[in-house]
Amino acid sequence: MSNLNYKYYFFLSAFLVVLLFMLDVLIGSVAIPWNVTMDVFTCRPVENVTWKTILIDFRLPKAITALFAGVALSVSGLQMQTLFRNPLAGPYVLGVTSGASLGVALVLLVSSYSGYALLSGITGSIGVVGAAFAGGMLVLLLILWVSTKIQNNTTILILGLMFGQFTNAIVGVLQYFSNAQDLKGFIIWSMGSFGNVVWDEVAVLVPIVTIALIIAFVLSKQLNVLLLGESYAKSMGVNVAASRLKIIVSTGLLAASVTAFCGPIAFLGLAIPHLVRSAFNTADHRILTPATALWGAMFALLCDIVAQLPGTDETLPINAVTSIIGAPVVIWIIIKNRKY
Amino acid sequence: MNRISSFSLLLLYFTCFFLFTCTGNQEQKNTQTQKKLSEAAVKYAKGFSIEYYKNYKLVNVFNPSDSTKISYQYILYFSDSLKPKEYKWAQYIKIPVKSFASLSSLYIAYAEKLGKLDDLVAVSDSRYIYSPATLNLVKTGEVKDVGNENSLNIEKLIEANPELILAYETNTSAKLREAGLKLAINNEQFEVTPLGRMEWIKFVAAFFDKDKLADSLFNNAERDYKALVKVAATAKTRPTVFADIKYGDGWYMPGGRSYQASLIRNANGYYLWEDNSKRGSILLSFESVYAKAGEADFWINTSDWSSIGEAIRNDSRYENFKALQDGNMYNNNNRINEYGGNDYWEAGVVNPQEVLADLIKIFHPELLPDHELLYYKKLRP
Repeated sequence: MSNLNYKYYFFLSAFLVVLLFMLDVLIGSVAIPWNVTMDVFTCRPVENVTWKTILIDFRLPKAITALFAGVALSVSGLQMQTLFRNPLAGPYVLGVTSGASLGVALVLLVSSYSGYALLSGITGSIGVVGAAFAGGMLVLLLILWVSTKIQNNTTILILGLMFGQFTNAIVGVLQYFSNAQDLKGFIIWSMGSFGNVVWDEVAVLVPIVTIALIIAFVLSKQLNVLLLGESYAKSMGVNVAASRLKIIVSTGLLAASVTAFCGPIAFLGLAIPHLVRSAFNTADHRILTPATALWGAMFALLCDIVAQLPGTDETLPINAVTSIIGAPVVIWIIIKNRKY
Repeated sequence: MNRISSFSLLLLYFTCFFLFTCTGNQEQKNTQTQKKLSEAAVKYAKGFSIEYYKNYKLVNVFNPSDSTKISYQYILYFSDSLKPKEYKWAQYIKIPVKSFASLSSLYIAYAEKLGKLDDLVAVSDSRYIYSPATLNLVKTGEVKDVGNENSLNIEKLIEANPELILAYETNTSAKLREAGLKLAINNEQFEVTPLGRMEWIKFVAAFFDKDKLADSLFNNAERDYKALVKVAATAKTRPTVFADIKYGDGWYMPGGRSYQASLIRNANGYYLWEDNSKRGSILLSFESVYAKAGEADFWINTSDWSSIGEAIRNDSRYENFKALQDGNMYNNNNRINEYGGNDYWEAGVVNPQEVLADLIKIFHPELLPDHELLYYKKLRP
């Protein structure tokens, strides 16, 4: 593909992201006329306060969250697939999500064991977000520590999966002994959601994701070299250990922050990089990273629109939608060009 | 080898055939001699019936989604010599039962109301039981705790040796039956009216042979309940009401034909989803609940919250609701133990008139000036 073609592709993708973002704000369970929507966003007075609140406090933060979560998870997945040179890698192979799940399980499930009085102090979204982030970060630090000791990427991959299995097992035990009410809260958290993020949380999520993304973009060149193998990278003068550390930090931040606020969002991180590689037909991360970011945003927004089941009062959990749309797409790609 | 097995199969077939025809004859004889004497009056509950015969009672529990189908059948007989034989797949239980276990805190409430707590030998998950009398029995060791629904300690339950287990159908039910334990399956959760749920006390009472007592307890509750409905009907206003809280992206709002909707309607509140035709919950998006209930007067049944601050910590957008701004939030967790075991789901089910009185007091305080909230409480600011 020539440079001109890339430009065209990027322009089209960016345009679609903007379009889908607007649609995501415009479409929902409650039918709001588009001229009212225009009035709200051009700061003209609106008679119906309910509609204004729905647009400003419900739909806008949800769309922004979907956008950033899509970008973060897809870029993180791309980094992991390249670092581990494994097509099945995703943001979650390091066990960051499992760590986050464990944190949330401890808050939501164990509190019922330790007695009712303890619950009131840490309940609510702040407790859940904090626990998820702490759990994710703890596993990330563990992986970082291990990666300074062990030089082999495959070993780190396996260790990450083992950490994941281990924490999942603890979560399973906690679930087994919890009561129905707490279990419901946990299971619904694990289904993922963009709509639960309020403005105060958007203000935390967006800067963290932005910083981690900047690291990811800067690392694009090093990812290109890593793709050719570690020994080649070393011979090219790349400090493999240092690059790996940066990649792990960037990915961990992306995955942990999104998981903390939205729950474990399935599939985006695994599927989008494959989609982009086959569409852009390149292995150059200076192209792949921004393209993956754009397509991740597109896909997350699209899934969010579908999850709202426009025209009905009901919603679907976001994970159901990402996987139902995502799985066939990946199957189709794998069959179409059997690269892996 | 083949010939032998086919021969034995044939033999088995004939034996079965012979046996069945024999018992079939006997059955016919029996049904001719047995005549239904009467049937218990079940006015509100749709899930069970009790028929009285000369030497036994026949209790049917119907399929909740199709009340023409029988899910469980119980023959409650008084003496072994007069035991009927014709009911092939019924569970035979000799009554009155002298000892029982309860696998839900609610069934303890029915038994307690019937004065049968002394016969309780085992409970599940005692942490979530509110009843102080029962907890006391657990503490002294007279009643055994046999674990929770997921990890029921069947050996301990067998050791407690209850003549009857009051339960709802779970994954472990089959295992319990296999172990020779007798289960009475309560389907009260599928009843959509408070009086219907209370009426299952008649079902429980049949096993203790306390039918008359159950009738009078129920009639008293019904009388009080109906009187309260009349009082509520005199209210001049009909405040708008919505219920429950958001989980994830979804808000499980009680359907328009649900138990909760029925209580709100009887307390003369205007339940915003009362036109809905569902008996269970409806899953709504947060924004659609806000669009409809943002200006509503009352918000009830708010999960485990005790203060408005908890609501705001959970999601600051709840602040947009007028009911929250006005402080008109009420939760049914006034009587809970330290683990969250809630009397609303125990004694509250057996005393629907008290629950209704609470709601009338909330919606129309002027109608019941002397009533103090029992199961409900106002959320702290």
